[in-house]
Amino acid sequence: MYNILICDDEKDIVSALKIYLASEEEYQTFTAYTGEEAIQVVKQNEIHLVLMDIMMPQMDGITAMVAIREFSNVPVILLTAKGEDTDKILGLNLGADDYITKPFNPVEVLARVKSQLRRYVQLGSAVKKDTVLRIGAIELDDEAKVMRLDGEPVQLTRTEYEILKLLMQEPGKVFSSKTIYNKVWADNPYGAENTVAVHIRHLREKIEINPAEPRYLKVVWGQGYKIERGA
Amino acid sequence: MQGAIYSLPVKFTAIFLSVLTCALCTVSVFLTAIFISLGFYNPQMTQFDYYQSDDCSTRVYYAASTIVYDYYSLYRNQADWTESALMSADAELSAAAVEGIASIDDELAGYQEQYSPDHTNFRFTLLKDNQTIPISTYAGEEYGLRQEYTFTVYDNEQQTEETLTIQCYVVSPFAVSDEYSSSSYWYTWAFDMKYQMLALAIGSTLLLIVLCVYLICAAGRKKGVNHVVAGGLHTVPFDLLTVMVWTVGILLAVSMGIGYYDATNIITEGLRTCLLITGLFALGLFYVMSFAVRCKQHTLWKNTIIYRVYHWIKNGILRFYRNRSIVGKSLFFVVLLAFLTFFVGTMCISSHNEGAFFLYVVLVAFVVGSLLMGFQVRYRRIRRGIEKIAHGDLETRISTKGLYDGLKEQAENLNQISAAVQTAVEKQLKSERMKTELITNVSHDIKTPLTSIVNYVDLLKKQQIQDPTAKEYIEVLERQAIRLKKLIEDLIEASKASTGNISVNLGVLDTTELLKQVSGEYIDRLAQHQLELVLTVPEKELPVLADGQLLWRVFDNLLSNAMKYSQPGTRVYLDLTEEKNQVLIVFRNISRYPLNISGEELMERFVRGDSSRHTEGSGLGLSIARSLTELMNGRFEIKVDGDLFKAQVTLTKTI
Repeated sequence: MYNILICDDEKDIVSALKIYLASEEEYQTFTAYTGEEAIQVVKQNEIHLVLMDIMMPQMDGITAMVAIREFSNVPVILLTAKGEDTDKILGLNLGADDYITKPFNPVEVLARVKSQLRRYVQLGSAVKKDTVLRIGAIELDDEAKVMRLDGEPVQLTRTEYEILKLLMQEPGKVFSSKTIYNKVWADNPYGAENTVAVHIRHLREKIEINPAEPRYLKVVWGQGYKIERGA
Repeated sequence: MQGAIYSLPVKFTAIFLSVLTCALCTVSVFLTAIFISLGFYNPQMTQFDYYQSDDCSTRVYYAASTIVYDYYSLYRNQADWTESALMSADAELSAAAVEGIASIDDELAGYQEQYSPDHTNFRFTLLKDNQTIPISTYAGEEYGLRQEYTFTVYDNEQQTEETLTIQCYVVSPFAVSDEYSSSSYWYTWAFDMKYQMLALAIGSTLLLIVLCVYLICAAGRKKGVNHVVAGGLHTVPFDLLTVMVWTVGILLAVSMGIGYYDATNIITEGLRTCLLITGLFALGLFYVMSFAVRCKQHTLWKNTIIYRVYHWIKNGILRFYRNRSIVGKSLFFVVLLAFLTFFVGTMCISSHNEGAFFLYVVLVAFVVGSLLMGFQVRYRRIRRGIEKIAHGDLETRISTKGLYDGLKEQAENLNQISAAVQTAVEKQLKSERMKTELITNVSHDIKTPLTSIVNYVDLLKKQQIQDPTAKEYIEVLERQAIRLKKLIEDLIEASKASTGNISVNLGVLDTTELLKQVSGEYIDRLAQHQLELVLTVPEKELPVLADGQLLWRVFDNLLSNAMKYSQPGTRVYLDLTEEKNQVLIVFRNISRYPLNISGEELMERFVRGDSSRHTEGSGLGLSIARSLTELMNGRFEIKVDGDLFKAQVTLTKTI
C-alpha cells in the first residue's frame, strides 16, 4: 500500500487524479489544495509520493517542494502547465524527481507514478554489481544480457541492446549515427543510412514513458544521441 | 553699491579736475624740464648768478650782433652816399645824397638813444680795427658780465678787410629796470621755487594718473545701474569716432599753430603749448574712456562701420549662397573661380610674372582638390549611414559634426527618418510582444480547464455506457478536446516564434545527421499512412549554425503536415544539397487535396490547404516553421505546383 499526496489548487484536477490512482488498488490518496497543506500532510503522514502543481496561489509548488525536501526525500513529481524548459530544469535542479506537463495523459501519469514508486522502494535493496550499468530506472546487466526498467525486464533486440549499452557506458556523451553504426555493426554506413535513427526510435518507444518527450535517451539534433547522465 | 562714486556730478568734477590737472601738469613738467636743463637741481648750484647764465650771455650776444650788423650797414651806406654826392654832377642827386647822409646821422643818434644808460643795463664800446671808437655807451661802471666779440667784414668790391670789435658789459647792480633785470628776477624766483615745482610736477602727474584710472573705470557706469550703459558719442561706431578724434586733434593742433615757434615770447608760447596739450589730453581722455566703455560692453569690434560692412557683405553672400541649390552653389563657385583666375591671369601676364600664375594655378588645384576630397569624405559618411539604415540598423545616427549646409540638412533628415522608423519599429515590437504575452497567458489559463476536460472525457470513456450514441458523442468530445490542446500549443509556439520571444541557442550542427535523425523518427509513422519517405543526403557532413531543437521543430511540422495531408501511396522527398556557401533542404509531397492557394498564403497563420478546416491541425505549422527558420537567420520558402507541395529551407553553411 502506497500513500500518494495530490496537491493542486484546481479541485477538479485533484479529483480526476484521485480517480485514476484509485483504479490501482495498492494506492491510497491524500489531497491538498495549497502548498502549506501539502507540507502539513507530508509531515503528519507517511507519504510515498507527491504529485505537486507548480502554479498555485500563495505558496507555489516549487517552494513547497523545497520545504518538503528539508525533512523528507519522498519522490516529487511536478505538474506544470507552463511546459517551459526553464521551469522543468529549475524544478529538477531543486530536487524534483520527475515532471508531467498539463494537459496530461492519464496513462502517462500512472506510468510515471509507478516508475517513481518502484525506484523509491527498491533504492535500498539494490545490489551494486560491476557488470550492471544503472542510470535512473534503467538497469543493464551485461552478464545476463538483460535490460530492466524499474526492475521489470524489457525485451530488446540485439542491436537495440548493443546501442543502449554503448550509450550507457559513457552517459552524457553524444554519439553520432556514424559512430554508433561503426561500433555496433562494425561496418561503415553508406549514403542515406537512417538505420541507427530508426533503431533509436524503437528503443525510445520501449524505455520511455512518453517517447515524444524522452527522459533518458535523448536526440541531440544534428549531432547524434546520448543517454542523459543524471535522470 | 558702487553707485555713489559713479554718480554724474562726481564724474563731471573728475573730468573738470583732470583737464585742470593736465594743464597744471603740462606746465609744471615743462618747467621742471627747463630747470633740469638749467642745472637747477645740480647739488653744486647753491644760488643763481644771472650774469653767468646762458640767458644773460645769449641776450648780450644777440644785442652785440644786432649792433654790429646795424652799424656796418649804416657805415656802408654812409660811404656810398658820400661817394655819390661827391661824384655826381647832377645837383638834384647831390642834394639827395646829402640828405641821405643827414638821415644816417639821425639814425645813429637814435641808436645812441636806444642804448642809452637810462634805458638799459647793457653797455658797449665799438672798435674799428682796434682804433677808433665810433660808438660807445660804456662809461666805466661796475659790471657783472663782460664779453668781447670780434667780427671781420670783407668788402668784395674794394678787396679790403675790416675788423669790428665790440666790448659788451652788463652793469651790476642793475641801474634801470629792463629785460636783464626782469629776467634775472624771474630766474632767481624760479631757482627758489625749483623744489616746489618738482613736487608740483610729480604731484599733478600722480593725480592725473589717478583721475584717468578712475574715469576709465567709471566710464559707462551709472548710479543705480549694475550693467554698463553707453550713451552719446559712445554709440558712434568706433572707427568713425577714431577718425573724428584724429580730425579734431589735427585741427586743434593746426589752429593752435603747432610747428610755429616764436622764441622771443616764451610766456605766450608756453601758454599756447600748454593749452594745446590740455586740449589734446581732453580729447584723448574722451577717446580712451569711449574705448573702455566699448571694451566693457564687448562692442569694440561689433560697433564699427568696418564690422557692419563686413557683416552685411558676409550675410548677403551667405543668404545668396544658402538659398541656392547645390548646383547653384557649385555654379557660384565656378563663376567666382573663373573671375579670380581671369583677374589673376591678367595681372600676372601683364606684369610678365608667369611664375606667379603657375603658383596660383597649383594653389587653386590644391584648394579645389582638397575641398572636393573633403566633400567626398563627408558624403561617404552619409552614404554609409544610408546603407546601414537600409540594412535595418536603425540605431545608426550620422554624425553631423563638420558637415555643412546641404550635406548637414541631408544627414539631419536621414537621422530623423531613422529615428522615426526606429520608434515605429519599437512600438510595433512592443505591441507584438504584448500580444504574445497576452496569447501565452490566456493559453496557460485555458490549459487548466482543458486538462480537466481531457481527463474527465477519458474517465467518461471508461464508464460502462451501453448507449452507442452516447459513446459516439464521447468520442467527438475526446477528438475535439485533443484538437483544442494541439491548437493551444501551436498558438503559443507561433506567437513566440513570430516575435522572436523564444531563446535561440545557435550551435554548429550537421544537417546530414539531422536529416537522418528526422527520417528515423518519421519513417515508421509515414509508413503507417502508406507514405514512403525518400531521403537523399550527401556522403559528407554539411555543418550549419542553427538551433537543433528549433530546426527539428521545422521538419517536425513539415513531416506531420505530410502525414496529415499527403495522398496515400505517394512518396515524400527530403533532399539535402549544397550550393556555394548555402545548404538547401528541399521537402516535397503530393497533396491529398487540391492546393488552390499560393505558397505565401499557405504560410499565413491559420490557413490550410483545405479551407474546410475539418481535418486535424491548427494551420499554424508552416507559419511556425517559417518563423523558426528566420530566427536562425535562414530562409523558408514554399512553392505550390498543382498538387506538388514544395518547401525549401536555406541555411548558411559554416566552415
